[in-house]
Amino acid sequence: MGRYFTRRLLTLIPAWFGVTLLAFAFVHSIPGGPFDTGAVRPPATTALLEAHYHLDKPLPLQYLLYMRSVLTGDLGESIVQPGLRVSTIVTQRFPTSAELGAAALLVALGIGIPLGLVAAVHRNRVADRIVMVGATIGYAIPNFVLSILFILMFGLYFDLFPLGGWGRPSRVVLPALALGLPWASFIARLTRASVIETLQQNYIRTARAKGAGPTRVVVHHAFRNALMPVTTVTALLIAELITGSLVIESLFSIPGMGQYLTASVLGSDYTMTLGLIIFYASLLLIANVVVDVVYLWLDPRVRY
Amino acid sequence: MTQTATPAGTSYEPRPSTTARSPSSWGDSWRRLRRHRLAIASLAFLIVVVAVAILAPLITTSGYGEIGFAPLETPSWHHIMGTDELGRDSWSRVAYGARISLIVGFGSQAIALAIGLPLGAIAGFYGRLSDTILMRATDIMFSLPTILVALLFVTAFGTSVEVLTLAIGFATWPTLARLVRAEVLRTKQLDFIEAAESLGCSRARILRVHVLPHTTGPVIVQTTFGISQAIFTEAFLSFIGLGAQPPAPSWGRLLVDGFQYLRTASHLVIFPGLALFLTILALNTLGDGLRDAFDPEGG
Repeated sequence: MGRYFTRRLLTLIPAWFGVTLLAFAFVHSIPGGPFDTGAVRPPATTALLEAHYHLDKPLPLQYLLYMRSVLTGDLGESIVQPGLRVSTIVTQRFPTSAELGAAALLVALGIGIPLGLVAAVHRNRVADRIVMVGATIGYAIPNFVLSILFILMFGLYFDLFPLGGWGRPSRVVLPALALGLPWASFIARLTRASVIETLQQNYIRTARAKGAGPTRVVVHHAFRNALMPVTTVTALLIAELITGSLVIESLFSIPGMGQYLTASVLGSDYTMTLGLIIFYASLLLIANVVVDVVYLWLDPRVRY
Repeated sequence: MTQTATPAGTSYEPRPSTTARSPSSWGDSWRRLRRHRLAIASLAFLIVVVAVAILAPLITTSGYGEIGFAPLETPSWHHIMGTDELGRDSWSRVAYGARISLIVGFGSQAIALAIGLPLGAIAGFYGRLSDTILMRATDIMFSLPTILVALLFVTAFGTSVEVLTLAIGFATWPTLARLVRAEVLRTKQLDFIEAAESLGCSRARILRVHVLPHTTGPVIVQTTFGISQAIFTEAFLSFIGLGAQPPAPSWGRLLVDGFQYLRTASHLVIFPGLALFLTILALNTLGDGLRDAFDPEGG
């Protein structure tokens, strides 16, 4: 497993450079320089500004210089607010986004897996039908529509939860549900299909034959194997929750990083956009490896 | 738009002898799909949405940007979905919004197919270097979620429906390429491929005539889900201000504009929200039905 882990980490390196190169190429393919905004400025000042952001150098060199600073943990400097480091934004804002993401992941897995299990065990009976109808509907509601519904229902009519802001647990509930519930539907469907398939395996028949009761069969014999597909999609899920939080953060006024990313794109803060996207992509690459390793640990039969 | 409805359909010609998928098996799939009542209802609903999008100028009474009615009116006989804050007919805006959603949905998946299908087929069929290159390239793309790719495109090319379509197509081709590759790898080991080889078929002809038609079912299923995801992504990006720009009436745009009038004129949120929800629901249900129809044993 140690060897596999090392090899898997090594394959990360070309992928990571590919991602950074792609992002860099896109952001720098914008025609005209970032300082051609029409603002009146002495040419010497513009030259100094361009030198400060290395814009006077050829593109390949710019990329190498940028990568050198990224590798030392510096994601660059905002081009709109000089002096503001991207890394500062990451350290200040990311914990909030991570909290929201973790709470939403808890919702997605904590609601999705049990419901999928119940549906599979009661296959084609009432409980299954209810769960499946709910899951099909839940998966078709975009998270921002769900947020609007929640704000309308709980915030304005019932006044159960505070709206907007961050910090207290009660403020986490609605955004985490809005972000996590559509994915709980997805996980429920996946778990159901997987448990049904697992329950048809030979070793389950063996377990039944030696006298294991229905609960024991599901909990002790089927559950762990049935969770494999869920583990596989968890990496995808993390990516979806992270990007999904862009809109949730703005709807619920949560001071997270997603809002900053959106603002940087809208405000043409190219270096900020680039730095934040590279941070997100690196995070997701690592999440992929972690999920692969968990997969390996859950299923000793898998050998790479 | 029509050729994306049957992706790869153009490359498939029923042939008398060694064809991979006999015409009768298409009939079987269609018969299984017809038994899936919800999928057929979804298909019918989607046909209505497509019709609304195409016929928008005929079935609405005013253009989507036309102002001059009383603002923020609740639904009535004159304005079945009410009017918005500028006095525009909401039904016109929702109907024209269907155009944007469908253009992004079908357009992006046409792009994804145009890139993913040939690359996946070549990598799976010829293998070696082409396969390694494809797998590494898709590795890179998989670490960039669609939304982030779209943000990069918007940063570089500005906000417009065309840029979004391109971005979503560019972000989703790896999924299709991997799917086609896996299907091609599976199919090329089957006996009838060996038979075609022994009859002297060229490699290119085997791929085109004997292998590719086998991938059609999974590709259609994946494309259906792809369209639903693309419509979702467009709405999402329009909602955060990075998609269709005013006065273009994308459903996501209508939602974010209506959001401010949530309490006073909730119809501005309800109708576009419902249109979006029902369209995604129908596409997903149709996708489920198609999967069952093409692959009766699995799932």
